[in-house]
Parts: sequence; structure tokens; C-alpha cells
Amino acid sequence: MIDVERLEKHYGSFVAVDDVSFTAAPGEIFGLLGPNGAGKSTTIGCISGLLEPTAGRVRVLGKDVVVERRAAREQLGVVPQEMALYEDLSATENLRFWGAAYGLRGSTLTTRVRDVLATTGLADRAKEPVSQYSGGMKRRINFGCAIVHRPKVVLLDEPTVGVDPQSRVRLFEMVKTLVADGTTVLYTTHYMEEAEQLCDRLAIIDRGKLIANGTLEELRGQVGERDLLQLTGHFDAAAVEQALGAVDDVEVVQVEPDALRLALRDASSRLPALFDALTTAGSEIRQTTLTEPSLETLFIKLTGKELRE
Amino acid sequence: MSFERARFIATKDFLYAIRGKEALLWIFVMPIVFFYFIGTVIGGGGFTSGGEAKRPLAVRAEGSPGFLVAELERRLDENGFEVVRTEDETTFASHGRRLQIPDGFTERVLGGTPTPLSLERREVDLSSQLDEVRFVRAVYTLLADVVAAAEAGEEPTPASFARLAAKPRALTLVSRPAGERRRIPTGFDQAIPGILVMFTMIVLLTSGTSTLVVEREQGLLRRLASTPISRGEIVLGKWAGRMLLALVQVAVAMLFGALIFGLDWGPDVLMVALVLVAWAAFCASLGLLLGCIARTASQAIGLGVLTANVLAALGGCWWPIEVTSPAMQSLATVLPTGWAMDAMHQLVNYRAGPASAVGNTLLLALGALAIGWLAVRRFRYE
Repeated sequence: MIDVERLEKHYGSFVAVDDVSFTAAPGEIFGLLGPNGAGKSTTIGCISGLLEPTAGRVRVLGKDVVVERRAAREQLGVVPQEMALYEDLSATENLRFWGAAYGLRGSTLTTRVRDVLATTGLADRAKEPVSQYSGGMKRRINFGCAIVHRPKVVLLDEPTVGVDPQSRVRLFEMVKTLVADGTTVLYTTHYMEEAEQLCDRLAIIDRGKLIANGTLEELRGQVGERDLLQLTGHFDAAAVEQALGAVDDVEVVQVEPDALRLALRDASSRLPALFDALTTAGSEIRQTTLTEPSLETLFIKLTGKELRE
Repeated sequence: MSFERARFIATKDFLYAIRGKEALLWIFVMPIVFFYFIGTVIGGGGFTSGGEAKRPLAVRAEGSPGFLVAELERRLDENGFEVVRTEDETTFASHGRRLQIPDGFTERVLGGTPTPLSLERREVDLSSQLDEVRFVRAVYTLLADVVAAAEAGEEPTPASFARLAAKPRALTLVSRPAGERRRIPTGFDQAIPGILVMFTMIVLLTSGTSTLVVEREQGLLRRLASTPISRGEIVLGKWAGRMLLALVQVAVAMLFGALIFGLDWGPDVLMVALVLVAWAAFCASLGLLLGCIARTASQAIGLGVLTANVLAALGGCWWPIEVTSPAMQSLATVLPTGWAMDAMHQLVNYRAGPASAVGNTLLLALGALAIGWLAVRRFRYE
């Protein structure tokens, strides 16, 4: 399991990770969801031992990653965001190298390399240089290199960026197989759909801070059954607040001169009444977007911005 | 610190480095090619002196040159040429050094008629002038004997020249080396140690540097940081991988230098090896440091090529430092290439004994440690 406790990472005055705490249990896929630059990779860096935390504590299977660095790392497999592979080497040679880096030798290493080639579906092209692989194949072998030593904890940092649908499905299957064997998986992504599809529990991170944490159902519960209505045009904050105060069960999530976000139940049937109230208050509506309850609506509700912004 | 893990990194780096054909070319082939070219240009197999091999000279005489040709040939032989007498034009033209003697040579010389002799060389190198000096010396001793025979009242004949040669000489010049060197160095004596020192540095400061930058750019170092291998083990492994590469290159170059170019590494070959080990260590540290400093692979290669060539030129790898100005010679004494080359010359050319190279070897080892320490401090995963 992974236990992150009040983790902080500062770069001078910039706070990349700010008081982040969560726990990922064995046999669980724990998702870390957030936009680019939110602090996901920095968190992964602190867990993997690449970065020294400024404050807080990270334990992997009970081993402190700073104090018991080597013991913690032996249990970890890290799938980095970039293709960290020796392009001139074949898949087999890459797997052998990374397996050996984790201490595997002899027949154990040979068996594991063969197993991982089968798992990743690359056995028939195992001897070709990785430079000749497609992007999806590289992603798979990038994943394979992290699991060749059978780690108890696997960290996946945005593993599906630039991956074709077929490889993405294969990657998801491989992750689910790991979890079925009792491995703890920490999965970072900025793709909401991936997080919803794959993760048992999730934490949402933005600007270094953890802003929500729980199962998918728990997080959806924070949004309630409310839809998210996003309007663009011209809005006066005070007038909007006053006009909507008279409308039942409408929450103003965010109001700016050119944008308005509202959370409300059964939005589609109530649009005419809302538009009347807003236009009466002097608002000018140019565009309307209605989103059903999801992690995206939760993220917007919590941060006032979209996940991909 | 586990040396087993460092050895693992070193072995991987070494095997990865020698996978590419380009790397093999620059590590093993190009130094040998440069041995030949540079060694030939600055004197090749060397000049004749004492017991050394003589330099072939084809002699072709036209018509009836007379008995003085044989006298001239004897003096050419005494001056270090191996005279190959031929009348066949094709055979004559195939030789690198050729002497053409005109018809009626003896008659014209004895008659006091100016007689042109034509000495041609195919190669033009630093030994050309010495060939000329020796040729002129042979001609002048012949003319001096002609004069001496005439003054003795003898008719110039083979018999009178033989009698003259049997007489004790009034003046005898004995020359011997002023320094420790007992043999005039060949072009290869200078070129092989110089090119070896230079190429070890070039390889470690270019490919050794750029591979580290590429590993950083591709996230391989970051990935390595997440394995149980510690930072210290990674740095030591990276250094040792480069060291291994340099040692293999040095060993191959020493072997080829001896077997192909006939270089005698001298009686203290173990000390020569020790100097080159210290030099390899210095280059491995410097390559690692440049790899830590450079931001891109092209920057790393540019930095490596520039550093290696400047140090090679100023340190005496391209030419004997003795032919440069006193200021340049002083500068070489504070450069690592200068330390390496001076140690090599002391051992290989002057045969001055192992103690003569101890100081420079220690300087190189200390330099390797100091720069290695800087590299450890500057080493970064990303």
C-alpha cells in the first residue's frame, strides 16, 4: 500500500505539492486526477524517491521512501510519462536491463521477461529495436519495464498520453490484471473518463492541493444530482446573484463578466425560467452548455475551471 | 554503496557504447588510421642512424657514367641509404626515392664540368630535409676525395680511391645524442602516443558526454532513479563504464601500435599502462562532468570536440611540444594533455625509467579525483 501523509514539495517560493494526504490500499487502483501542472507528477516523484519531499512522509508497504529508500524502491514499479526506453535496444533487452536494475538475475529474469512480453503482446516483435515500434507498442513496453520485477506497488504517470484506442484497452487490461493479483496501483491522469472507468478510489488535485478524495460514488455524491449549466455572454455578478436568489435550488458556482456557471437539478426543463430571470437582470446570454453530473462537474464546482484548462 | 550495482551500470554503459558501428569506428579504427597518416607525415618509420634500417634509394645511370658512380654509391650507403641500382625505367619509377645520374658522369666531374644530379622523392615529410643533407654529404665527400687524390699526384682511378680510403683521416667527426635518447625517434614514436592520448579524450568527451545527456533527455536517468540503485552507485557506474571503454581503446591501440607500426613501448611498459590508466580516469571524470553540464546532446558533442582538440594541440599530441615556442612549452606543463604526453615521452622515447613519469601520473590521478568530485556534485537526473 501507499501512505502519503501531509506531503509538501517546494521549489523556492513555489509550492508544487501542498499538504497532500491519501492512502492507496493493496488490490486497489487509486486515481490522482488533475489538470496539467496540478502536482501529480511531483507527487509521483516524491513517492518514487526521485524527489526529496520538503515536508511530510511517504511510505510504501510501510517503508519510508526517504529513510528506507532502497527497501521502498524494491517494491515499486514506475511507469513514467515519457518513453524511458533504450530505443536502440529490443524489447527483450530493455526488459532484461530494467529487470536486472531491480536485482533479477539468471533464469528468474529470463522467465519474467518472457512473461511480460506475453502480457504486453509484444512476444512476436521482441527482438526488434524499440525505435521501430509504434507509439502504442512503446507505451506497452514502457509499462512492461516497470512490472518485470513483480512490484507490489505500481505508479503510472499519465500512461495513456498519445496512445491509440487498441493500446489503451490493452494497457487497462494489464492494469486490471495487476490489481487482481493484489498490486497497489497509483494512476495519475487528466482524462476524467479514464479515472471514472478504471479507478476504485480517486483524489482530485489542483495547484498542488488535494481538493477531493473518495470513491467514485462518494465524489459524485458531492456534486449531488445536479447538472452543470455553463453560460457565456455578459453578466453582472450582483444582479445575477439577486435574480437567481428568487429561483429555487440553483447554486451559483462561478460568475465572471463573460461567464456564468450554475449547479441545479433537472436543468433542461428549467432553462426558460432561468433565461427569463437572467435577461430580466440585464444579462446577455450567447452560448449555453449543459453537463450531467460527473467528475468534470465536480472539478468545475470545486475549482471554478474545467479539467483541461 | 554496492560495487555490484555500479558494475552492472558500468557494464551496461560499456556494451551500449560499443553496439554502434560509428562508435566502433571512432574507438578502434580511426586511431589506427590516424597513427598511419600522422606518423607518416611526421617521419614515418624514422631516419637511418646507427643500426637502424636504411632508406631505399634507386640509382639509375645513363650511358657510361664511369667508376665514380660506384664511389658515390659507397658514400650514399655510408650515409644511411640502401642503394638499389637499376637500369629498368619501370622499376626505377616505382621507388619512392630516386637518383638519376647523367651520361659521362665521371668524365665530367674529373674534367671540372658542372654536373647536375637529380634526387627525387615521392613523399614529402619532415625527413625530406635530412635525406637532402645526407645526400649532399655523400656528394661532398666524393668531391673531397677527388681533390685529395689530385693533390696527392695520383690519377683518379678505383685503385687510387681505395688507397685513399685506407689511409687514416686527418679529421674525424664523432657524433652522439646529447640526451638520454639513443635512437632518433620515428614519426610513429611521436604520433602513436599523441593520437592515443587525443582519441581517448575525444571519445570520452563526445560519445561519453552525449550519451549521458540523451539518457537524461529521454527520462532514462529519472527512471533509473526510481530503482533500488542509489545515486552514488549510478554515478560510479557511469564513470566506470567510460573508464572501461577508454581502457579497451588504450589496450587495442597499444597492441596495434606495436604489431602494425612496430612501436617499441620501451622497457617500462607497465608504467606506460599506468600513465594511460590515469589518463583514462581523468578523461572519464571530465566526460562525466561535461555530461552533467551540457543541456543538449549537440551542445555536449560541441563542447567535447572543442575541449579535446584544444587540449590535444596545446598539450603536444599533434606535434612534439619541443618544436613549439617556449611559451607554448610552458603552457603544456600545466595542461593534463601535457602531463600525459610528457610522461609518455619520458617512458617511450627517453627510456628515463618509471620514476620519471610518477609526478605526471599523480597529477592526472588527482585531476581525475577533483573533476570526478565536481561531476558527483553536478550529476542530475533531470
